[in-house]
Amino acid sequence: MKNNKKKILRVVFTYILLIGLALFFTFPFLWVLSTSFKGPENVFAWPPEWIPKKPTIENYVAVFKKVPMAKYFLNTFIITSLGVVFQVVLASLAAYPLARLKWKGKDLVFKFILLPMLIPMQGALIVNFITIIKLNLYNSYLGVVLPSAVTIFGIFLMRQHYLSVPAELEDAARIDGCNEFQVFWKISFPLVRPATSALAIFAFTAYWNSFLWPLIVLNSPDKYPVQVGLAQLSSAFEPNFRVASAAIVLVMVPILIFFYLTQKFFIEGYKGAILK
Amino acid sequence: MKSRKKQVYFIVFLFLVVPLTLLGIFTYYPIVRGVVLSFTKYNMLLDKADWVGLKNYAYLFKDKYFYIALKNIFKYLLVVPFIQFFSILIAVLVNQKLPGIKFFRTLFYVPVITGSVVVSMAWKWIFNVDGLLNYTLINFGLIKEPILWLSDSRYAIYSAMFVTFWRGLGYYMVIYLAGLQNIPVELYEAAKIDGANKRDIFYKITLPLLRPTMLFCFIISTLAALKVFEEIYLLTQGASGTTTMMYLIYDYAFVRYKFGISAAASVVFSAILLIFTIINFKFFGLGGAKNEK
Repeated sequence: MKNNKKKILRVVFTYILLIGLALFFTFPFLWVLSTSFKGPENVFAWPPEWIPKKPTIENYVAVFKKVPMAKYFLNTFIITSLGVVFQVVLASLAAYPLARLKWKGKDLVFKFILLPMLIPMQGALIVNFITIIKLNLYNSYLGVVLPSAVTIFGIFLMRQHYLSVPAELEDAARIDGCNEFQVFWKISFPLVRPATSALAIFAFTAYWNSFLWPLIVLNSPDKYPVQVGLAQLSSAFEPNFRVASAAIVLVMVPILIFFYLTQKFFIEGYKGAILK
Repeated sequence: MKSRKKQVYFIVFLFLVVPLTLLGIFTYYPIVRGVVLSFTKYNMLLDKADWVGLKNYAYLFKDKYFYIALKNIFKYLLVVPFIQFFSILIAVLVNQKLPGIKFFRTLFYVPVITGSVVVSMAWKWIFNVDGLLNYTLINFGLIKEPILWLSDSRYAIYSAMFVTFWRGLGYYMVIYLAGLQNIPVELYEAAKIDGANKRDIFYKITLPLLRPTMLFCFIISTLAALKVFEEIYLLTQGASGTTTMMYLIYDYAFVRYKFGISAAASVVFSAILLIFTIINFKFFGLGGAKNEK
């Protein structure tokens, strides 16, 4: 009996902690959400009004009037799609010969690919900027995407999954008369396809949230992705946080929906991706 | 047989040529070119680089903001132990089998997924002169005058550090959670049979087996702290003594167009990161990539 009581107390205590932490991790967003529906009069009420008494959508209307929000979303969509396709396709291709084929120099090439993980290279920012200008890609979507189109993480992740494909399957296909390309396309690649969706999800969030590089390499506001647009808005509307709050909410919603649909990849996916 | 070998080499070439070319242009070339650039005065319009020897470095070492940036990135390392300690605690907390626990895990990860811009702006609204924090503190009578959390040089860097801490907890929680779940259940069962209590189990089994994960997280959070940029850019624009090395590199190149000096700052900063990487490898064995076999 006594033990049981102790157990219940423990569970109650755990939930109190969990709820406290949940508030800790969400209150800035809830505050922004609440602010975004407030009119000018009730921002500074005490106690703070978490649920606006007179909710209004004027801040949301103002966002669309003052900045090309729809255009920002379209830009983010283009940049993110391009980036995800590049990352997934190029990593799926590059990892295959590194994992499954026998050829001279394989180990050397793989070590070479891993090398930058050990060498910090902060100079890349400036040099890549100059390179992008020379390639005539300044202020273009491709200029945003290209420098990160191949990631070492992506190649590494895909290689790990290719390595787990049983060699017998490939050999059987070879005996049955498949050529090397068919072995890849019909046997190996379909088996690692689940890993490509994990990589796509990681790439999606990385591009969606990328900030510094698009900020540098784009100069006309009609090319800005939402993150850069949002940051500009923060200075443009400094005293009026209500409009900025509405914009923050708009930017958050799509990524939260995306996260809700794919959450198991984030919360469970690390087991395979990082600690394998 | 011969044609098969040809096919293999054809595929090797076909599959690797584009990825390796891109890596070459955007990853390897900058390492070399960045160093060369740091010894030149670069004119972007003419694409001309004049050799100036060590002048850029001399300029850098005379710039007081360089020293502020150095001081700040080392100060920022304070975030690392806090973030590690609390994310382990949270991971242990959400590693229990309770109804709704998955919901909480997801909730704690929200600050990670929403990205640095959204997070920094939300916190800016709280730290503002007339923001929620000052408002609450004043109304509870804890302070009389609003505190300039983001523009008073006594507090600004700590405000930014707090945001980094808050944003990172969920990320490391998930990695620790994976680490905890990779510990074989049999070990816990065996310990229980041997009569170990919960505390013994935590200190003698959980913590030692979590060590590789801890080292991994320690390394990445150290490097992330040294490289902080977004929070600084969005919260303070590098003002009030909050500039960091990454912000300085950005500022030299893309605000003041001094590419050579920016490159010199990059080289110095890369050297600092390299020292940290070497220390990590020396003390912790092969962390990071090699750890993954």
